[in-house]
Amino acid sequence: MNIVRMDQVTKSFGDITAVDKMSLDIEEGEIFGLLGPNGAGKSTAINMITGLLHFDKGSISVLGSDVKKEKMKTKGYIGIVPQEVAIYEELTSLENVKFFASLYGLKGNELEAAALEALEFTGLSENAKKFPKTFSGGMKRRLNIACAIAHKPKLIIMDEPTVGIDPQSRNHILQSVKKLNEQGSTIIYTSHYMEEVEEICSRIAIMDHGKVIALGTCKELEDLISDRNIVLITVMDLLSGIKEDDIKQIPGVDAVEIEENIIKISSFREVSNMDKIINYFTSNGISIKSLESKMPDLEAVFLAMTGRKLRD
Amino acid sequence: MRNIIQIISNTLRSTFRKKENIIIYIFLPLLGVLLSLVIYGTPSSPVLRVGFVNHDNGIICEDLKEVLSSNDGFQLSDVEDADVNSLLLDMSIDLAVIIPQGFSEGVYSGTLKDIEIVSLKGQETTAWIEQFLSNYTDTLAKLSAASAGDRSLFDKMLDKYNSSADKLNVVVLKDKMVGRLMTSTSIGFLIMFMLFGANFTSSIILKEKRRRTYYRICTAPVNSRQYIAANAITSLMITIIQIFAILLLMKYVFRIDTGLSGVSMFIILLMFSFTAIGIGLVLTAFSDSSYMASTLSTLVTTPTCMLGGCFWEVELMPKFMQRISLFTPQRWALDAVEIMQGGGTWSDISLNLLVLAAFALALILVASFKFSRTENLQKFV
Ligand SMILES: Nc1ncnc2c1ncn2[C@@H]1O[C@H](COP(=O)(O)OP(=O)(O)OP(=O)(O)O)[C@@H](O)[C@H]1O
Ligand SMILES: [Mg+2]
Repeated sequence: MNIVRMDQVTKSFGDITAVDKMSLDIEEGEIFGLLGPNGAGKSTAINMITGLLHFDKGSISVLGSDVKKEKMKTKGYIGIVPQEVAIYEELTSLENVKFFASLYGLKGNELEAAALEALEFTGLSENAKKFPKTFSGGMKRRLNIACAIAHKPKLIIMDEPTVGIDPQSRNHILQSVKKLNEQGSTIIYTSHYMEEVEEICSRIAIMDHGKVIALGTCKELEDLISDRNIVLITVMDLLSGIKEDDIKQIPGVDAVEIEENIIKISSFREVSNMDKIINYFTSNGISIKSLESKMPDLEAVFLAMTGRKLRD
Repeated sequence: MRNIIQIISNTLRSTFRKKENIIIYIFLPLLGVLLSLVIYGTPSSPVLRVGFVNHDNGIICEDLKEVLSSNDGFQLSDVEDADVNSLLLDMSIDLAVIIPQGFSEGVYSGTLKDIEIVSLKGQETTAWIEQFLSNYTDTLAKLSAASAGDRSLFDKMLDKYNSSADKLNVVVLKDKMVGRLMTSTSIGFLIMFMLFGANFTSSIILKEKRRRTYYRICTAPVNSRQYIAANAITSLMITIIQIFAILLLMKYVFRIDTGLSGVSMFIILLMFSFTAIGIGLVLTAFSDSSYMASTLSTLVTTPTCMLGGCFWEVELMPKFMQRISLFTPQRWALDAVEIMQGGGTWSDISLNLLVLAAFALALILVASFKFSRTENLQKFV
């Protein structure tokens, strides 16, 4: 059965159409990645699935129940890990987890056990009686997750759970996502880190301007642009005055991304334009440090599909 | 229901775990009120200036005049009927006592005529002179009945009564003086404090919104009505503690008499605090930021308190503003207090209580509607 089914959902804020006739089916047991540049509508879509935002048109159901008509029921199926850490600093880890889990109807010994299990799962058992004030960023993130999973939701939605934390905590979180999935939860995962999504997601949707513009497994998405080639050019000078638009004028080039002194160019395989690209740099007096050509990866798909990079 | 209890206990736990919050949320506001009671509670001139209008000129009137002027609480001056209004207006007298023609004759014959009292300031200035005069005329009536029309017997009895009762009267009145310190201004301050006190609700909700725990609560199977109910109840619990503390402190520590029973004062303040919480909720619901909420709160609280008569008598304002003031809950609460101070009964203030309840209900409904429609969930600052 589909755990989430969005059908022609539209949501506007005044003049802005944040989500535009979006349709999406997420199956039970998936780790579903949701990718999109800033303002694509990811958070808006998530907030509609969780019943927090009223939408204008279309319908959404979670485990077969309509989120508008049976809001309390569908909310009960979901556990959400918000983009920003949402915990009480004045309460201990255990009290935090217990409070949020209690809102899902857990009580007594069952509540206590579920809370301890969630803390154990996120590696915070030893800090159960401690106040989050003293925690590192990574520990707070993990507590943020513990608060969302104690009630054993069928669907866990994670909105950028790994923002700004150390690699070790991130690794821990990625492992827990996989483990949660193995234990039977379906997961919707949004992230700005392409590698994460590539590593853990079974299927990925790329969103832009409120629409799903590409959907499939990582492989399927990469195949979409198998007719393209990625050229990475590293230049000497950080402020070399390169203009994206100028490079896009070169025949065959379909997307350009500049990050510091690395220029990433996506170009159609069948057009041989390497000499023209190099010429652009040399004729502008920009010296090239290194040049690399590679097969399209997810980031390249993203670049090609949206013409934008994932991070701002 | 379980959700409501969970949220209440969680709010109390997370707020009062820090012990200094007990002081900040409960005792600091109390201090403000007590301070304003002490400062504004004492009338500027403790002696009532009484204009005495005598249409009678009988012996008994002379006697009454003597009794009044021998009392430290009054400063008596003879005035003409025609001057009463202007004297009251330019505040050279606080009130006028008008003895009707044939008053003395009436006492002898056992058909007592009413003494009229005129004042601008309302109940709390006239209440105790009324009390005093009614005691006095009661005595006269009793003596008159006892003397059965015998004038010389009556005069003798009155003389005797005065010489023995004089001291008593003074004592009683002095007590009353202290007891009447609770002017309408200080009650106005108390009312205003209740409004600020209700900011507890807003401050808790705003804090929850800022650190996104509100967002998380919203994703759980909790609807906006439950959330609002939980916060209103929490706030109410704290307000009740505060009202209790204030009334007890006033009565037993500062010995300030409110002029009405503790129960009626409590009920009136409680009804008002429902409204105050409603206002807090509406302001929170319509605010996009903590800054906006606190600005709105100031913008709403102070002017409505002015309009509602917290700082001065409503009667001093132009007629149309008096009419507008009926749209402020403060006016209805103060009115209720005044009615009770003047010896009114529950049925006399039932309309006031009803109006306050209606205010509260309307505000809470608006707030809960707005809460359920709010789209700004994650970007709150
Ligand atoms: N409460 C709101 N009021 C008005 N506009 C909003 C609101 N929430 C979102 N938007 C707009 O809707 C669009 C989609 O926003 P959304 O937050 O869903 O994007 P996102 O994909 O989550 O972006 P990010 O990667 O930055 O989190 C944006 O243009 C945003 O400005
Ligand atoms: Mg977002």
